[in-house]
Amino acid sequence: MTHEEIKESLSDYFDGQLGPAGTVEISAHVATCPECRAELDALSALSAGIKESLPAPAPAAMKERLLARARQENKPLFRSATVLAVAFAALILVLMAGVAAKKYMPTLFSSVQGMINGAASTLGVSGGNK
Amino acid sequence: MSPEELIEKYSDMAYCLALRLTGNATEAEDLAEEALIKAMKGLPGFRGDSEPGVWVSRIVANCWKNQLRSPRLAFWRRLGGFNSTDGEEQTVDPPDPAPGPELQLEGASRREAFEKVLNSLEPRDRAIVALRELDGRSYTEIAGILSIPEGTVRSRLSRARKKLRGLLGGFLEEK
Ligand SMILES: [Zn+2]
Repeated sequence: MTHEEIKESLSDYFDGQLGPAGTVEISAHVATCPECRAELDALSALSAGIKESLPAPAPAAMKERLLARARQENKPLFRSATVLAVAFAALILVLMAGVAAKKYMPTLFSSVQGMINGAASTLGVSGGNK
Repeated sequence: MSPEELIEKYSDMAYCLALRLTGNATEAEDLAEEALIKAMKGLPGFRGDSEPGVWVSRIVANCWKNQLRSPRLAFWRRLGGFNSTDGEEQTVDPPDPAPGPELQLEGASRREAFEKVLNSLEPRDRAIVALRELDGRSYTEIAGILSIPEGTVRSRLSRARKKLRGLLGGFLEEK
């Protein structure tokens, strides 16, 4: 490779992205060529500057939102089981309340039924359950 | 890897890459969040045939490409122009809509100068530089993440470095 070709490959060389043959050839050239050495120094100064200035931590709020979601995602089974159990318990409660209301508060039950029938007959519909 | 580990380990990396791709803190947060949610969902199917960092980076890059294609972004960008972001999260200047050849670097600190010249690169070149310098990705990995040929990574990186050096001038030697 000529000096010019090597100069063009220094970016790859700097990154260690050349094959062994290219790496050996360029190393030998750089040892004797001040211009290419200066070029490599500039590349490493650039790299150092970028490494200093580029990093930016993720916003804390974003990370918190994602972590909250991750924790949810971690226990989908638990969550759906809980939802089912709560729904089932609520259904049982409603049924029991209905049964209890009919048994222990017959007057309340029949007055509610009367209201319903009254409303139904004003609409011209049969209350059905008389 | 649990979803929590994924977030703990790769949030910063995903955000950093998103920041380089979008050049703007608000959009970067959106992009990184979208990508990390996708990664969490995809976690059960992730077989580990690539390094997790490469896999997450690729999701970020793909989400970014999809956003570029969607008309929603054009609207969003306009909206974003009126959004005031809280100062502490705004770590970079919003991108110059038409970065002219003359960058105002006088009086800038070394860090500001680097930020400015990096933001003057094309988004894809910024991403290549970030993947190389921050994540230490190989050219093959960068090519895979951004779905571009390896030769393109090579030549663009070399050209971007030349451009950065030219723009930085004296800031490069400063310590
Ligand atoms: Zn030389």
